[in-house]
Amino acid sequence: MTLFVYTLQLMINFIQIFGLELLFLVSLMIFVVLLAGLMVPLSILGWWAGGAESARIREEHLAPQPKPARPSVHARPQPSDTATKPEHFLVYLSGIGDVSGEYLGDLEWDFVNRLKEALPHTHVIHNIFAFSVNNVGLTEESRFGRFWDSIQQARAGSTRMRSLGGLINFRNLLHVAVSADQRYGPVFNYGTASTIMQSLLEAGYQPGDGRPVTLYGYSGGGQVVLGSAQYLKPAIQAPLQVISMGGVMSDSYSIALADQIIHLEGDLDSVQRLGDYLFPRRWPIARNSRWNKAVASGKLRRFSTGPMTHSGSASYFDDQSFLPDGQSYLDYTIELATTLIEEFRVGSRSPSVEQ
Amino acid sequence: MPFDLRPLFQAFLSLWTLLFQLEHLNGSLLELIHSYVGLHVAFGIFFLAGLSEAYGTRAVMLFLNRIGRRPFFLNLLITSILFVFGAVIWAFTIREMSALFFDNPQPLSYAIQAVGLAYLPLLFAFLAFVPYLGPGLLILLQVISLILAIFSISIGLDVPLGEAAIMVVGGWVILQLLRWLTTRPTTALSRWLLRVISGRDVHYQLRDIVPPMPLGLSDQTSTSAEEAS
Repeated sequence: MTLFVYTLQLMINFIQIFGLELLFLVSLMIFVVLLAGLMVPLSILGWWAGGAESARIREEHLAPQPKPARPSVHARPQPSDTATKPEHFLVYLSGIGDVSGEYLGDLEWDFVNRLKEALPHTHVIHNIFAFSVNNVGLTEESRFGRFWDSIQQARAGSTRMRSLGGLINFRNLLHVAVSADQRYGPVFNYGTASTIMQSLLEAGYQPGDGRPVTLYGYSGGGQVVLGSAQYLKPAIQAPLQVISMGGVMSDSYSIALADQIIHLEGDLDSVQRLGDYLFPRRWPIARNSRWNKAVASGKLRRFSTGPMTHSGSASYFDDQSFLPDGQSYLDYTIELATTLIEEFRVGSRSPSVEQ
Repeated sequence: MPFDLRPLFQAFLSLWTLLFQLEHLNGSLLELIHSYVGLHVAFGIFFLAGLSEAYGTRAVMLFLNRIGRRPFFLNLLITSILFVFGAVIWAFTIREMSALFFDNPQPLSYAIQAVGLAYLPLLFAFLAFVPYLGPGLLILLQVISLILAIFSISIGLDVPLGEAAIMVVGGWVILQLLRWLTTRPTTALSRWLLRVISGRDVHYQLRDIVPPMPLGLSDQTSTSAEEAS
């Protein structure tokens, strides 16, 4: 009883010192943030339910069949000339600052172009928006497209309004949480896997012909590529490599399916380090988790990129910061990434492709 | 006006008033509980908390199974009613333990009122729906609710805190045991009911709901594999 009175007194003292209004406002703010968190799964489940509608219509008119979700893949594999046929495909997904499949920051554009140059045998796909279940960019949304467009413009400007860009990061971060969630993750990851598969087919990829695929995700894109690997691996029936650059990845089921997982981490990148704390199944105590087993078996390898930060200057994309040997951060990232990708491509070359 | 926000503001004002009265607390806490948490309020809290928890925990599976609106809301309603029964059973066991072990017979309504107060945090149980953090938030709310129950039973039944803790934890264990024993029949009943209403079977395993690969591919992959070989 006395303990209760003391606790109550403590609360009353807090209210008296800091004011009831402050307590109320802080609580309200936390509540609003959590409410925003409710909206993202709702939109994804709504997308799933939309698929249900089409399935129900089909069921009513045709014979019963498995219930598909949208988007089901509709492009047939493209017949391509063997001479120009790429040996390997790479899908690049950007981080939580991204707004659409077409958008990439200046530094990221340089990075992707350099990757293309360094990987002549690889077809690079980078027009996928990682934080949408159906590849609809923020600025392309029918309801909030204008809103996100104005936020994007404010972010690109030089006024105080730039900080509003944090809203984009927050919105996309919630999608990363969805991808890592055991309840919504499978649906979201299925959707992004369908989008990636669609892009691969449009680029001439033929499922089952053995050509290897690399999924390359930066920041939040790391979790999304890892999540979608679960559905891509059985679809492509070929070697699959997952690379996360400064990514925050969970102990996903995909770890068991992907052939190789690489995690590139900057020593000064505190964002990617969050993954070590946020996901309990990555903690050393969880010895039997998929993550820790993959690390122990060498399937999941972590490479330090040196003193790089997560974004902006001194990040993985920076060509104005230099390592002690004089190599720029961007050069080093490209060199490390291409070495690992080429090693995987050559190592997993199938006889059908070599012919 | 598309959205009438007045009830929401009224609710905030009521909360504000309650907090303000707590700030200038003069009367006994026992009176406070009995005057603010009447039986009808307690049952209201149970039901709303049940609805909130049902939405936070069960709605995902219902959405994923793409059942219609009617079975969806009916399922939430049934779950909420079962939740109310659970809360009453908890209050009943607490009251019985108080009478049997501590020789302190009190009206059942007092126990229900006290448990009603403890269920207040669970009004936010719908936050279990929040991605990734949701299940953790729900556990946090349940722990807060359990601790609050110890305090409110201590005040509501006028017993020392230690005795209240024994009664609350004991009652909670019995409730969990009952839930464990009835999980299978209630799940089967709920499944049957959903099948009858919606005309389709409800799956509780995600692997039964989400296809193993993007649809439309299974035929293409087999064709391509044949061509490649």
